[in-house]
Amino acid sequence: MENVIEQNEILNIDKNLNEDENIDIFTIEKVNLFYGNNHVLKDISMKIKDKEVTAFIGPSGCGKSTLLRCLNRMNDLIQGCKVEGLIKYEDQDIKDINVLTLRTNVGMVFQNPNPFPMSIYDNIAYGPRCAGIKKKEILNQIVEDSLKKAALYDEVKDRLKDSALGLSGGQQQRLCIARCIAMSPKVILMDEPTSALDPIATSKIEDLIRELKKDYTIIIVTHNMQQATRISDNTAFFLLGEVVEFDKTERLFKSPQDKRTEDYITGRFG
Amino acid sequence: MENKNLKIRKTKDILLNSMTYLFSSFGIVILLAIIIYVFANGLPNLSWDLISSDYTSYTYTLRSETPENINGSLVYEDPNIEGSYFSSKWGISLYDGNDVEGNAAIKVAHIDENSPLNNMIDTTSEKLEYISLTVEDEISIIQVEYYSLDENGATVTNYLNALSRRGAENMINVLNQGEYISSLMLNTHGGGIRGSLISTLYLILFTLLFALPLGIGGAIYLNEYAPKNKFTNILRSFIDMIGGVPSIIFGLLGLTIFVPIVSSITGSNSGTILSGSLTMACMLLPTIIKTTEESLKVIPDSYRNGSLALGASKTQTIFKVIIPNALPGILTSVLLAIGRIIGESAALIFAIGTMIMDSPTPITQGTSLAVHIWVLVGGENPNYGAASAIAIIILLVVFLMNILVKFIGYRFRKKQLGRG
Amino acid sequence: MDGLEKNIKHKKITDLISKIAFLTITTICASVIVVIVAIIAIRGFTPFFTDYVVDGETVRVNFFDFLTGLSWERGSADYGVLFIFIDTLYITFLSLLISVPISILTALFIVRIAPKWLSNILNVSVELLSSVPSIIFGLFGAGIIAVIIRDIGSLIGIQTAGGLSILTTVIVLSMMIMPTITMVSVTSLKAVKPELINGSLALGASKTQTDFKICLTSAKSGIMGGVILGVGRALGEATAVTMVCGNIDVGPTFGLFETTRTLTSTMLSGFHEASGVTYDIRFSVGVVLIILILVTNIILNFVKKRIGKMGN
Repeated sequence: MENVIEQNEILNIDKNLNEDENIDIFTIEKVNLFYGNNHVLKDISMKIKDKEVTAFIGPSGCGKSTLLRCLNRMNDLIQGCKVEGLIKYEDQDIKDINVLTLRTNVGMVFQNPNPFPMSIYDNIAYGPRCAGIKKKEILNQIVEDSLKKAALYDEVKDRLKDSALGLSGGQQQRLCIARCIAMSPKVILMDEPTSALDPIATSKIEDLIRELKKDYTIIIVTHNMQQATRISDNTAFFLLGEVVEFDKTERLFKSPQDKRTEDYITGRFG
Repeated sequence: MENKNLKIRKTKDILLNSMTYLFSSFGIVILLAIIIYVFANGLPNLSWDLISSDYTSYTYTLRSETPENINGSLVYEDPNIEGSYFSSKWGISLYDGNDVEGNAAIKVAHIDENSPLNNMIDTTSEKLEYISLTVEDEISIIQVEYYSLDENGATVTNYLNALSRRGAENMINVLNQGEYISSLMLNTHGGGIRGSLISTLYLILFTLLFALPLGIGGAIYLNEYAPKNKFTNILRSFIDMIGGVPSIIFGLLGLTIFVPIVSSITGSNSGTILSGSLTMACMLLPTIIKTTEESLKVIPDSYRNGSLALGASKTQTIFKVIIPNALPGILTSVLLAIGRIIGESAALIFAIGTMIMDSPTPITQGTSLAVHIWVLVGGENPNYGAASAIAIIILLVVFLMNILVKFIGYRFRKKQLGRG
Repeated sequence: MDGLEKNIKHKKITDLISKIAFLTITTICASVIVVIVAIIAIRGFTPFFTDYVVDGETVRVNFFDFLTGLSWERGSADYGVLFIFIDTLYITFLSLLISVPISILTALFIVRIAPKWLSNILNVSVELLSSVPSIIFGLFGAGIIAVIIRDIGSLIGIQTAGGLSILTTVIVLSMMIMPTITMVSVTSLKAVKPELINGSLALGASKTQTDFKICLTSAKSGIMGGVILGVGRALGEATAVTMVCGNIDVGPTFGLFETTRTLTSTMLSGFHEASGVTYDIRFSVGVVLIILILVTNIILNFVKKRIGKMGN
């Protein structure tokens, strides 16, 4: 009981601090991750800035998605997965935060659009309802705001009661983003959100990300380097479970410090 | 606020979770309740006697040829069998036993070779055959008629029945008073299920004989030959529909079609085990076709192509490659079928009848074990004990079949994995 | 060369013959359903066009009276199936009311909540329960549940017909259809995509909320399929129901401690001593049963499709 009150106080203090620019919202220190005997992440340390877009790039299987899933503790669900090291969200070890609270604050959008088999409205209202919001007016407001923020409202406002599965792939992905926004998170994790979409839908999502970064911290895993240059402020390059280079996006792509980064971005492997 | 909210959510979750724990326990509870009920009621009645003896009980009235032993002129040697009572006058020792249904009965433990009771004429049969009271037969004495001499030496006729209730000791005393035994009434126990067991075996045998070729043939056609067209779809949906027909409707089918057909061939005037088998075969077709087809589907195409490439015709491929590889599926369907046949009642009541036969043949009536239960419980005096004893047998067989099916499936999948 | 050609020709002929043979077999299998429908229909309508002699009197069953009658065999040619029809629906409805929630929660427990060992034990129990023949359910129902119901009835001052009652029938039927619905639900719950579950968890929903809201919603079409099978089994179940329903001859009855009568029990009970009209009329009841099963199947499949549209 007391612990949680303390925790809330800390959160409130953090909120005030966050109004300054360039606060570290995530601090990752010497994180190692094992799947059974598989050493997937090796000694990863980085700091992720608030209200900026951070991109994780690297070849498949380099651990970028795995690190992303550590940030909202989705790896807890995988049996035989062991995480060592420290991840701090707003100066608090994520292990000490209630996992439900953490995931409310750190939303996630997946590679394949995964709308629930229910109406568009219910999809958005699902998270708030789970969190205990029951009043219809509040829910209506949340649904409308979230859809507007996700630039989907005009397309679906007449068919909120229709099944979400009737939407196109791009719309479904924006719905998933809206669903995420409905929880008013501070961070949105995106795991290759455009890899299953066509170019037009992709560019819409990218526009949306640029819009969203005003209000949210976004961490995006992408296999598409152009996408990283287009939308991200910072980029981390992963290789074989290690962060090879982590820098401002411009600098990383123009003058990479590491030979391996250069090889990758010039397309010599990957 | 947030803290309180989380607490409420947690409480709700625990509540919902414990609800699933509670509700899902029902399944186990019901299963255990059924098993416990059936075993508690049936186990005391389940004996070799029950399995091996006839259902019908026969009553014999025996008349002695040499009935006299006046003044105990003959004395027989006591074999001293523990728990039994001996009459030295008549050379017989008796004990208190139970019949198949658990009722008290007076049974014969020993009878002297020269005893007049060992050589009697069966007056119930027209041929007046000699019958000897043997120890092996499951018989009990229910009535005795004898003359004794009163104080004046005049003969008095005594007639005693319901002897079994009074016990063996009383019976011996009664016999010892008698000078002349005029008749003895015996009862074979009955209540056994030998006939129904045989009927069930016949039923399984003939049902499989009819259903397997049709079912396997159907599965082969649907998986190996059937073109993708409307006719195939109709065939498939028709076969699926058979699976949805309740068993009692199959009973009507058997009654209307198979009973007359079998009767016209064999000349019987009622339902027969054959007509029941034909009915069961129709009922089991969808199961057999589905199970076999599942096993055909997983046979890799390389097997078929390999055989065809070697110059084998399609027919040869089917009989030499496809069917041998489908054996686990066919075996599974046989086991499932046996489970269904042994448990089926409604259809068989219609398609065969409810007459329990002690020596059934395929062209007579006969009851499966399940129908036997139906008869025992459906009558005026339901006999739950004996019914439960039969239920134990049915349950054991059905469970065994299920476990075997699982085991075969497991072995088969393992083999598949090894192959893949 | 000649021999080879002959061989090939020979093979072609055998292939053709075996193909035709297999096709014939399959057609025979499929035609069983046609024969069933035809036979039951023809024999089912016979009683309405045949004169029967009952106790020296010539009687004929009136088709309209059959459809609308509220009593059974109370007089000669008194065969009213309407109340039996209503009783059957009522009993099936009550059985679903009990068994559907139990089955769904059991399935959810097996797939999502229970630890592995418990889940395995439960799964096997449900499978074994589904293989228990109906005669044993009937024995169990008449031997113990009826006794319990009778005692409860006398405890609260209700006279029952030796425990044979709607309540007994409903309990026995629920036990019988519970495994069917559970097994189908387990299959469809196992097929719920992990992405949906992760999506829900990532939104801060708890595991239980995910189980109840996402898994059940995603599997509802499959669960409905299980319910359809369960309804089919409940409507068609004969032996066990006949042993516990009490076979009342007038109705409909709705009181839980009253006896009842179903279509199947009407067909089955006293069959071995039936002759003449009491024998033939059972086919007519069979027609009603088949139509009832067909119609409920169509309706429920329609509902399933509607549900499915919202789901996957």
